[in-house]
Amino acid sequence: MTPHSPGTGQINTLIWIGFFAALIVVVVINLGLFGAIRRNRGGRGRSARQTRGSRGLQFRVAGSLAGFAIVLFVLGIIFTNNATSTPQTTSAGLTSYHGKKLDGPLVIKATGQQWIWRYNYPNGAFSYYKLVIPVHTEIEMKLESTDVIHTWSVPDLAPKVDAVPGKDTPVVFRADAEGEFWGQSATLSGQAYAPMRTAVEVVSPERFEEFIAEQQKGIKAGQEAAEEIEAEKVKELEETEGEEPSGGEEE
Amino acid sequence: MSKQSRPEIAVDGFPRRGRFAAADIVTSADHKVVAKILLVGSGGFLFIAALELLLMRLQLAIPENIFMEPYTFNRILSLYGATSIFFFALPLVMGLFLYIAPLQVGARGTALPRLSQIGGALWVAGAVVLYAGFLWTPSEAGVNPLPPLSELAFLSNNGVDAWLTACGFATLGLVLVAIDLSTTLKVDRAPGMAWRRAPIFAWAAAVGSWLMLFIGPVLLAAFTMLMIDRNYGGTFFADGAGGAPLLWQHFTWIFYSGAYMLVLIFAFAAVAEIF
Repeated sequence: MTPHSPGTGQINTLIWIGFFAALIVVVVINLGLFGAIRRNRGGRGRSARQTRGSRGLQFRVAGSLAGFAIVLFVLGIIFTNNATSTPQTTSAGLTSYHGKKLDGPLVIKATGQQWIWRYNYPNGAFSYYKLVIPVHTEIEMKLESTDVIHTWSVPDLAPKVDAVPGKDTPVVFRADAEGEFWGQSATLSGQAYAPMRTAVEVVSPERFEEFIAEQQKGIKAGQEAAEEIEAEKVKELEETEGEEPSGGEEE
Repeated sequence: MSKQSRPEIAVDGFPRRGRFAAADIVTSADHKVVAKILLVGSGGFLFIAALELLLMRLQLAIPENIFMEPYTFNRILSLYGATSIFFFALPLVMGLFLYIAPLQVGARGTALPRLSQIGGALWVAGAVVLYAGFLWTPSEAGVNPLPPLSELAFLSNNGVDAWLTACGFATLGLVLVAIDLSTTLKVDRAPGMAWRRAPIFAWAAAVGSWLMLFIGPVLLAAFTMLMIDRNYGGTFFADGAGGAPLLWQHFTWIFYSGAYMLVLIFAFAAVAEIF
């Protein structure tokens, strides 16, 4: 994992702190254990020593380990609190959207369905599989599901979030580097769960506006084509109805 | 023997006829025999669960592997989830508690031996249902069958029902064992065996069986609710009809966290007892 947002940076630091803390504890305990064995074991012409700890020894060891654990716990609270705090849009980010000044986050709706992610942008544009977001911009993503529980997980950019049917779960993050980041679903959702992946493309604010315009143009063209096909079908249907009495659909 | 007033209960099964020991094992309500059923069974299921894990890791060894179909993987995953928790970890813990703790506190047998016997039988029945279900219509809902995926709308065959029945039997059996064990440790300790003198493993057995009494019924309630949802048109876990999918996660969170704590208490107590 290479973090590219303030929140995941915090999570990454916390993971490494936890890793080194665990490493230190394991190494110290094992060194102590093997040292005690070396010092006290028997050998040729030497019988093993039976030692007893001093009276408060257990409390001293347990107390220092408990203190260590409390320090880690407090650190964990501080870091996770920072990781979930809302990062503001910087001046290099998207400050206006469709000519209007953008106050607060760019709100995107992500919908999980068996087995693809759909992203709805403001102003009616949408995309499947790939989310495109502007760099240095506060994104508020609202996760929803149309069927079962899905988990949206893009480890480089944001914490994992569940998309639960009937609930609207928000996650706030800010991407600080351009590029494409992979993600995947992380809760078993049925047969095609494994290939239910996603990608997040982080682009410049200008490119983002272009992308939205392209998507809207494409969606409009698609809708027009669909309407044309629909109209043709209706026309055909009217013609056939004129020729012979219908009755095929009354079953 | 201060407890002369308690009537003797014949718990050793029918008188032995010939060399066939199976009837003795099946009819015995001795806590050591019931515990042996749980322990031997959990050893067997450890092997089976390891085999299932190996199959799944083979599929996951390389990306885009075609070693098994997606639905086969989900079936083995569901089977593995049930096997490892309900048929390996918990019976190992409850079995060793049931075998050793009454001996440690000097009880003559257990207080409610028939309850343990039914518990052991229910657990075996659960194992039979789980693997018979796997051969006919397996569950594809995963380690923990989260609704709505485990609802009728998304998995319409009887696999999830079989899974719930199997794990429900096993949990009910272990709860009955826990009732027997906690009662024994409360009322059947030998004279003079105060709690401050009881060995650490007996302490762990008491705490563990009370914990099982707390978490087991929660899971059984969740299973029952999902069964009602699936078979009798309930809406406990259906959103939009007054239910909530997250309710299941809260229920099973109580059970699974408690189950891990139970295994931890057991392991720490065993280590503390031995060294």
